[in-house]
Amino acid sequence: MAFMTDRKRAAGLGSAKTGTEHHWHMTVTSVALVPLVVLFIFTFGAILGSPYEEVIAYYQRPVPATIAILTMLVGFNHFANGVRATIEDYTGGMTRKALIIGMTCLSYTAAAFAIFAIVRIAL
Amino acid sequence: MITKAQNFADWRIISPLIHLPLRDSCLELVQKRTKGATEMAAKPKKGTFMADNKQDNRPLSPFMIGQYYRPQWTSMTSIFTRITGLSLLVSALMIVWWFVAASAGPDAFAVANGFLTSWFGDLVLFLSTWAMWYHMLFGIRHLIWDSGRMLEVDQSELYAQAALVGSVLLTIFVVIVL
Repeated sequence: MAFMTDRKRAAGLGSAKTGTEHHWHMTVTSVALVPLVVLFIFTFGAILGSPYEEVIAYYQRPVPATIAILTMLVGFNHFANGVRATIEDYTGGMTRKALIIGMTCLSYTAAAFAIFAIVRIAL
Repeated sequence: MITKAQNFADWRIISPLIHLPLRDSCLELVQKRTKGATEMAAKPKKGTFMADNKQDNRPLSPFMIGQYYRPQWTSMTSIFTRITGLSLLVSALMIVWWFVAASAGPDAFAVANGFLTSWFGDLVLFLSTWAMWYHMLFGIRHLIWDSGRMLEVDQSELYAQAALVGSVLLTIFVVIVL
């Protein structure tokens, strides 16, 4: 048996450096999402179910389009970081790495598609 | 003076009078423990550290509730914050599809819009609306906690109950308004 404690193994390695950054990032995005999501629910909910022409006309207006763009951008960013914390809690090793990379790529792909589509409708 | 071994032997003689299956399971347990302890003392596993041995087979925190901890308002609402947050991916991707289809043209829009306004799409969006309010109200709880407030158990439980009711009421409000 090696007389090695957890403390001894961790000593001298330095801090992980990104823990507080991740937490602060979640704080900023969550505060931003409180008004954004409320606005999105009531703008998107109001137009969902309308005919195609009305939907296009609605998202050509600057306010609904900007709310939607910001919600998608900040929302998927918040999701990518939130799901990362979940993956880190429940998995390890290669599984952890693969899931974090996969979910990050999925989040930004979805956000990019949504933003591109809204910009295309608006312009 | 009666030693532990003698005591154990006496107990083994009288125990059939009490309960046979119980006695057998107890004996099995005692034998297992004795065997395990002997093996561990005889040959420590290669590559194990002093700190590791103390942590053998200890339950890990995400898997504590239900098995080891009685479910509480605070812990259960906390877990549901995560579950609701993750499940919102489904409706988020549906909405992304809706926007992409709208930008592609009337035909693509008809398919996506048809799905979102179908009974299944309605159900997903209805549940997501609740999940959204829930996740938001319990996310705000984290912001309050981070500021050092409402950390007392009774306050925290009160918030959990109020926010759960609030999420349902806000969902009903959205359904009525929209």
